[in-house]
Amino acid sequence: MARIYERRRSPSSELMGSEFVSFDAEKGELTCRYTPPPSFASPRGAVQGGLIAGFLDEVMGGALLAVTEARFGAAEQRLPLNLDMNLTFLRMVPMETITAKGRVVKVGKRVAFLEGELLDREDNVLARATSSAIPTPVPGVND
Amino acid sequence: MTDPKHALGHAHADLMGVAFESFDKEREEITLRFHAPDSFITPRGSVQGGLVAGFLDEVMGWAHVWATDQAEAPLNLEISMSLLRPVRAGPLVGKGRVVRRGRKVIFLEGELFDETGTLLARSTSTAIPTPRPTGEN
Repeated sequence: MARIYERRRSPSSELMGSEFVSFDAEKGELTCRYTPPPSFASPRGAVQGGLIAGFLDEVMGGALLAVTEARFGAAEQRLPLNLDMNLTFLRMVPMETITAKGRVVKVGKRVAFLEGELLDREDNVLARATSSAIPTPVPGVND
Repeated sequence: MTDPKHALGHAHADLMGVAFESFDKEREEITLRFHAPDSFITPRGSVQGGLVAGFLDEVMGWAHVWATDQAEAPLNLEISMSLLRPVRAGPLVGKGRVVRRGRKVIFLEGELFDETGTLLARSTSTAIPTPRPTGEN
């Protein structure tokens, strides 16, 4: 059950058009692409601010999966149960494919600290997030 | 005042099943109902944490819209949220309040409850007030 962060794994990641790009084990950084569904549009014609957190949570969660697998083995993969999330909105997130990077700042037994950002085609930072979470085993992964 | 149901009928609002419940003018507090869709669910069986911010943004934003008689809407600079309990697919109640409304910056807060009134998540937001966008993109 290796590398599940490389494929779509839930209704929520399906909804957000999640695509794996790369994983840098040394930096503990996962890069993905997302395509916002039309239903994420706000009256401003961009992604609704709150829903932007959906992409960031997805890429931060994937980063924790990838890092825990790389460091501790497939049996010790962990998924974050978020306690809090802080979001900064630097630019509007357009209704087009965006790049997301998620990193594990620190992962211990009881708490993980994660961060993420969204980038447009010109590599402008659109939004950033930090999260503290409880690392838990991946639900339903025993095969 | 426009029909509140119509005013809530944008794409993202449809996705989250938003319905207007009430607005307390004195407290500048709005109550909305939501229906968390199955497409928001993760392998844990609950709404993806990030997407919980979608509901909270909605209640905070509409508190500001109603507090300004539908003239303004917030452009978010920052949202912070705490996720207290898992949010399940299905009906939810949200409350949003204007904490402080200045000319240049506004401060909002929001709460998300299940149907029995248990608090599931809370948030604060710092935003810039802008004329309310009307375009349907």
